[in-house]
Amino acid sequence: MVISRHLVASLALGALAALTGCYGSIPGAPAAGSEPVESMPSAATSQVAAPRDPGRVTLHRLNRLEYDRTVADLLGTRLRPGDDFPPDDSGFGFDNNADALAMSPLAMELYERAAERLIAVALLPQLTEPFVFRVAGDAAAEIEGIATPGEGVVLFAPTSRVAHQVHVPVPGTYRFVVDAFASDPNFAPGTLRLRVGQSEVATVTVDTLAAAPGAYAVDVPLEIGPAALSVELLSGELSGTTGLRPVTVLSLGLEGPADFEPPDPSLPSPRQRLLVCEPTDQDAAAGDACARSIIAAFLPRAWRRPVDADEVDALLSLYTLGRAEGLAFEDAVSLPLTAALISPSFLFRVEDAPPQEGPKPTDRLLSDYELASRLSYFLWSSMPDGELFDLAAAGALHDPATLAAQVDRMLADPRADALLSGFVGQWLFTRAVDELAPDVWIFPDFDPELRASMRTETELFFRTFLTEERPLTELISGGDTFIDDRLAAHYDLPPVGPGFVRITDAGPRRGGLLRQAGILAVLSHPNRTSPVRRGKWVLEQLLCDAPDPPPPGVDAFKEDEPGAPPTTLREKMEQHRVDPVCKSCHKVMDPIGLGLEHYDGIGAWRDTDQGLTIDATGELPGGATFDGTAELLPILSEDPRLPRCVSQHLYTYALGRGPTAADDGYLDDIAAAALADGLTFHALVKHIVTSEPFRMRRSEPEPPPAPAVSEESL
Amino acid sequence: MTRRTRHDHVSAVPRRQRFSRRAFLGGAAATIALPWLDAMTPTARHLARAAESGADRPKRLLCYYVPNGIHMPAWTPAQVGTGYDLPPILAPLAKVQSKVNVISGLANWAASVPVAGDHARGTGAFLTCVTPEKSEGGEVVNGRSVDQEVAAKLGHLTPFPSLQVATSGGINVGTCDSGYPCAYSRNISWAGPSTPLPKISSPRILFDRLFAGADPHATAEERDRRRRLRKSVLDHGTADATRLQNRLGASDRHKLGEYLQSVRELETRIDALADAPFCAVPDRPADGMDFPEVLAAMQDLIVLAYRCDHSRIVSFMLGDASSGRSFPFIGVSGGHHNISHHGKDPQNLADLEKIGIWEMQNFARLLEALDALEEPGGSVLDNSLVFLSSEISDGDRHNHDDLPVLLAGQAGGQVESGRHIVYPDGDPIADLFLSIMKWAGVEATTFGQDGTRPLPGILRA
Repeated sequence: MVISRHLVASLALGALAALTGCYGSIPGAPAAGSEPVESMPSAATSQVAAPRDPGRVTLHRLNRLEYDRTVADLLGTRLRPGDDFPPDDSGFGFDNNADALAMSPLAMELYERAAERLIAVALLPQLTEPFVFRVAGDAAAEIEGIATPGEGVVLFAPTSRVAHQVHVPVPGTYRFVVDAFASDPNFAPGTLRLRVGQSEVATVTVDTLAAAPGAYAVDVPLEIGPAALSVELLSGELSGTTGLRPVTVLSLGLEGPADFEPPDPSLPSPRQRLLVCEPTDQDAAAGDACARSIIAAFLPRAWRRPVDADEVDALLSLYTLGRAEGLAFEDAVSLPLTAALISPSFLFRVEDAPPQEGPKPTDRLLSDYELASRLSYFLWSSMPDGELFDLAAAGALHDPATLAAQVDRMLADPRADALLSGFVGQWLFTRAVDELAPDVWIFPDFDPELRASMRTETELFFRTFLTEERPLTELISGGDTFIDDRLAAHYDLPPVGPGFVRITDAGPRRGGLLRQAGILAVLSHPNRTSPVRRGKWVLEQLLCDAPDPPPPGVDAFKEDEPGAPPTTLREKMEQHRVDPVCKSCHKVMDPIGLGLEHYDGIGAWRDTDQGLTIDATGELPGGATFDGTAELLPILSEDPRLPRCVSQHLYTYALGRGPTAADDGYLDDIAAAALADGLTFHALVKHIVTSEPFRMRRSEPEPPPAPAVSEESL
Repeated sequence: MTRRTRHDHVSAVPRRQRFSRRAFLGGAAATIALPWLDAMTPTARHLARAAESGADRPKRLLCYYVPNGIHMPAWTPAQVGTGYDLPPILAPLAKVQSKVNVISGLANWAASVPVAGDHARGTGAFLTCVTPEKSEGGEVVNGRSVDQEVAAKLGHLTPFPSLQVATSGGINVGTCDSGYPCAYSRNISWAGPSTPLPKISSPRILFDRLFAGADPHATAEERDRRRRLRKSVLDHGTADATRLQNRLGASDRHKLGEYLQSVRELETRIDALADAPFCAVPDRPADGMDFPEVLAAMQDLIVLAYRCDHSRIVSFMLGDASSGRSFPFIGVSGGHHNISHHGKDPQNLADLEKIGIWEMQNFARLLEALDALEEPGGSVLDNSLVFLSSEISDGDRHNHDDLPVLLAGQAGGQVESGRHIVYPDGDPIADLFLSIMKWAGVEATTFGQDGTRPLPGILRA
């Protein structure tokens, strides 16, 4: 809270500073150019380093990704309740920022609903094979029509219908199937309305005849419990035809769920995991003992730490209450399990405050369990696994060699994929690929398949940095990438066959992040490229040298007047050079963005823009010149600010808090050590998790002092 | 012919009470509300309850936000007073023109600060009239919004003191606007300076929130037991939080305070909903709707929330600040925010006019639906106030004066509608909010940074 006020103050000053100059300095030439350029004071260059302080992370509510992954690991269910939660706000570029992760009545309500549902679904008997239900039309529970045994039901009147209730065993997407044909070839086709409960799920045109009845199907998401399937005849206007057009329904049924997978018999089912003893409804004492052991087994994993007898007793009382209210054993034991999932001990990552003696803040090492959670939420966005819990119980986690070994193990685990969405998706903006909405007339090639391929390309590419010991500079300079046939067509490359293929030398037009369609598209407007966004992204996300936002009252540049001869973006951006205020920042951003102009708004290569030849040459303020990405990317990848900047982003994500001046010293050390180790992702992670801020916690002065101007600043 | 019925579960609900899922899925927005109308004739029961719990004429407030400003030349009526000609963007309001006031000339001065970030700031200040503070770390400092002032006064009358509804949730990539945390761009309801109220953007979730747990088959005893058990489970959370308090520092205890407050509100609501009469509702909407369908479904659910008297105070965001949404379904292909920086380009201006008209078509449908609900003293619209505006006026200028403002409804007779009212001196919109608060019974002499009196000419003396 105190820090935020300083930030507010310094940001306000920064906005004023934009009137006279720009923070952004010069890629490829860290020394100032001829124009007055204020450099961001970084610890590497500042004269007075702030005293180091391991800091403290505010009580951290699990964000949506963390919640989903945690309950999946905890319970073994495949539900993703987090999709329903309010979006998490972010701070310092990441939505795992503890200060920004607020709690609201709405979130609480959804947590309660999610917890009830998770426990209910986890306790369901596991489906060992897909659910398939079929009833003959003439055997359905409810018939308004002409039923003939063995020959189905003829629906012929406006009120004709056939309906049957089915018990859905597990929630999921099911296929509602109707076998039917048009009863009278002279009055074909007929039209049916399919309903589940009161909801219409489909209207189908039955154009098959008795000789070859058709199977008409629609996929519907269903909850566990009774589902009333019904099929009604539509006639006249409703069906878009005239008169009655009879339809014979041979059968109706339900199949699913769509994502059914046969359970692995070597693994316990979610139900078996929870019910560690044989429940009984008969013997009250045995039931109580069983409930206690279920809670005692569940709670340390749910709360990610050992629990004491009082905590188990408190939950057991809910079971007792449920029994007293007349609930059956499983319903009663669901109450404490649900309560465990809406307790702050589950919803928040709790770290005890250091003992406070005297007015000065004190530090302490995190407990091993707290450290285990920091590790697992950093690398997996989930709870610790058995091995981490074991190491925590043994008190071994603070050992640097152990930490390094765990990093290697955890990065090799599939759960490390969470870094792709959680860290990479936000650091490099690739999460926004899911929200891309390019103008359909200007980019008719864009479709859901291309969107998916864009996302996969960046994920597979970044994953090589998790699995191979690659220097992170190759994110920019790497000549390799991953494509499938959809991207091959988009990139004008030969097809590669099914699936994604790594191409190690993609030629001069592809390879590395900055030549990937997804990132180029995310950094574009719906109808055209944005050299400014692209340039700003490089400065902000790769070099941590963000330019200030434009001063107020600045007009966006003009699109072409209708009828006027087209101009290139480069010509339009010359407007930025007229005003000295604009120029100070845009002379840094624009050349980088214009160097990427060969890639259009969805990242396809182009030689011309509106018929005008693209000029991708540029000169950076320091004097370095380039022509296109082949020359620009090496300049960027060798920029000395890159290692520190990558470190800073990953450190921010790892801790879930924004860096302050007191972190500068740590960050310099981490970047330098990682650089000495080849600047691999592994090296960076290891130096972060062994650093003091990751393993320690500082107490909070109390009460918080009044906001004041202090040495803490950007 | 054989007519058999083995079970009557399918036909348990009288046919006229059934709701087609088309209500939620109909692509042609014009037809969306229609299947409901029959079943939505308010039943005396709910309205009787409304009458018991409040005044004879229940006071409801809806605050409706549209992003990126409005093309004002096609919005502002040429004449003042009643009987003005509707400009193109307002033309869709023809059927309810007599129940709407167009208010010109108001300004949100708190948003008018010479710093970049007009969209975020205009949205943060939209209902607070307080200049939001910038920060990179996500911490926010704003004011309390007018809907929450009203909710503090009237919210206790309904299970949901207020609802926050939207059509999109927004993504969390990058900073939202020039150093302003995303919370300002995404929330217009603020319970307090640092407490934005998150909104619901999925019709399914809003539906669940309003109606899940309303099991018509459960006996009173079963419902009562369920209520007791839910509260016991929540009580455990409270106890756990209280235990944790002792181990934590001040900031962490503040976070736990948010948790405790949230649990308390949920417990209150469990009781309120349990006491509420059963309200016939349509089927649960499915996921996977496109934007016009979501908008229509959300508007339907707002009407339904009023009809069932689950809430009387709603804020609605048609999009987040500086929304980049495109409108291919009306032939507008560029992103809204981009187009709003029109540079006086005729194509951009034409597109902005189309977007404005489309927004007003939807808004008109909402007003018409509220006007179709009869209750003591007139229609629901007659008894309500519906405020509509945007975070800026002109997309190019980013100005916060000459705002596009509609105030629909007659506030139970306290507002004379059907007028175009002009305030040539740039009166603060905070004064309009003071008028709304006065009507709602909120005792306040100031609001936000510049509200000092109820805006003259709004409430009848």
